[in-house]
Amino acid sequence: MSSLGVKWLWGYRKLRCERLHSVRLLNLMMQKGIDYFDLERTEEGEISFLLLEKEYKILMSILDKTDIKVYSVYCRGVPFVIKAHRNRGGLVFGLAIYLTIIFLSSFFIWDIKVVSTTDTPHNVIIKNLEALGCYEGAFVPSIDFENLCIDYVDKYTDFSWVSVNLKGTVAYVEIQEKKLYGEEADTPRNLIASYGGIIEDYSVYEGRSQVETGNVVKRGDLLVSGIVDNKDGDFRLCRAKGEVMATVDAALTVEVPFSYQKQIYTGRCFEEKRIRFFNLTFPYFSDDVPKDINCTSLEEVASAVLFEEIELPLSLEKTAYREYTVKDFVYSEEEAKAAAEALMKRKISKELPNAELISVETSEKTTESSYILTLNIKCRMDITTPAEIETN
Amino acid sequence: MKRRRRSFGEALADGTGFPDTLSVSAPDIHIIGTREISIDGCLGILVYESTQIQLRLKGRVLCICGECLTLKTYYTGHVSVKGHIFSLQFEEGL
Repeated sequence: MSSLGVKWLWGYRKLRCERLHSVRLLNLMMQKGIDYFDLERTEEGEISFLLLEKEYKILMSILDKTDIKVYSVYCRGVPFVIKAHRNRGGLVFGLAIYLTIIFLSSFFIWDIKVVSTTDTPHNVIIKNLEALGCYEGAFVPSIDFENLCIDYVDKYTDFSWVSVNLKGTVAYVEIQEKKLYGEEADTPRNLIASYGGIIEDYSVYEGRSQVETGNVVKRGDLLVSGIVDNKDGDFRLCRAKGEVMATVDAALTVEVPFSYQKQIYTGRCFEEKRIRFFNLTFPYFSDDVPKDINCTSLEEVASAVLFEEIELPLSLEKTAYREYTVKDFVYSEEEAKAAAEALMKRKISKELPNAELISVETSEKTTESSYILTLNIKCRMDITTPAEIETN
Repeated sequence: MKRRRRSFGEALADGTGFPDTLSVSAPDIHIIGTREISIDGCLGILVYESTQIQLRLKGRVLCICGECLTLKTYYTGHVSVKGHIFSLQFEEGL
């Protein structure tokens, strides 16, 4: 394939010679050192072969002195294409402009991609880079990538290092957030009671227990101390770890007002459409959005992609506005009760996670304006919660 | 019996034990099965038919008989013949 490509670049012809002169022609080409390829012979004895254009000219000059006739079957290659289009100056001009645009566009950043996994959203990182001069459409020679990385870390102290590598016209950003390795795991702490109750059972893995089974504790009492005495009379600080299971009486209350407001969409929608090329935006369609209405907005961006892989710096943006009105509604008592029960479920899972319910007493109260649901819960749970040891 | 005169190259090859292919004027012939034969040292084509190809070597003629014979490469003394080769025959040359 590659040799055919080279031949196509030089240009080649297919020649045919009759049976009468075929052997003479082959001997002549051998004597003069003319290389040919893909020799074929028909049943009638005619031969055909391919010859590079430069060799053809040499052969023709030799055959002029003989009576050997050869016929050109076809011509292929760059020289013939150029010859066929030599009167089409516009084509050449267009090709030149195309190549120039491709060359010049390589001096701009077309896309920025953050390839590291970070807690910080990628669009925040890209916005930070934009503030330092690295953005889609930026002129590459004007960016000092080394200083950019140093400036980024100096300015945004939540990151330990950043690297921006330009591959073609895409800037790949690798970034590392600062992590306090070991500090959390080694920080001395106590364990205190998150709820009051009666201690049923406890397990201490690290630290010194301050309670025993049967003790009554109230919220905030010290359960496991992170200050441990040494044998030589001194003491050391440690990170208290353990479980203290207690029977807890907890009262959870939820209040649901009967009247509430809700957004109702009217069905009216308005749109704004824009074309974005690098950082330039060209609006091409816009509904007149009245100024005195309430609406939610939703933005959609569709980027042009080449061959399903290469994202171009060209995108269509659409902002859709949906009008809504705020209306007052009133719960019936049944509806208010259902809403209160749903809220109570969420509250229990948040405040009493992993609790083993022993008994639940429900009380309801209806006022003029709201429905109040109260649960008195008796449960068994781990009441430890960490608390820092204050050292002065 | 008439004794054939040997060239200096042939005599040197015989005396030293070097292969004949290293001597100056000997054609080099390689046969691959019965489908291909390549010859270095070919001086010209005498006959080119689908059933017979005659090649002029130094001092002799090589006659290749077979079916669907074709010349595949041919440049500066190197010839490659492909097809169904039935026989090779050397004849006294021109």
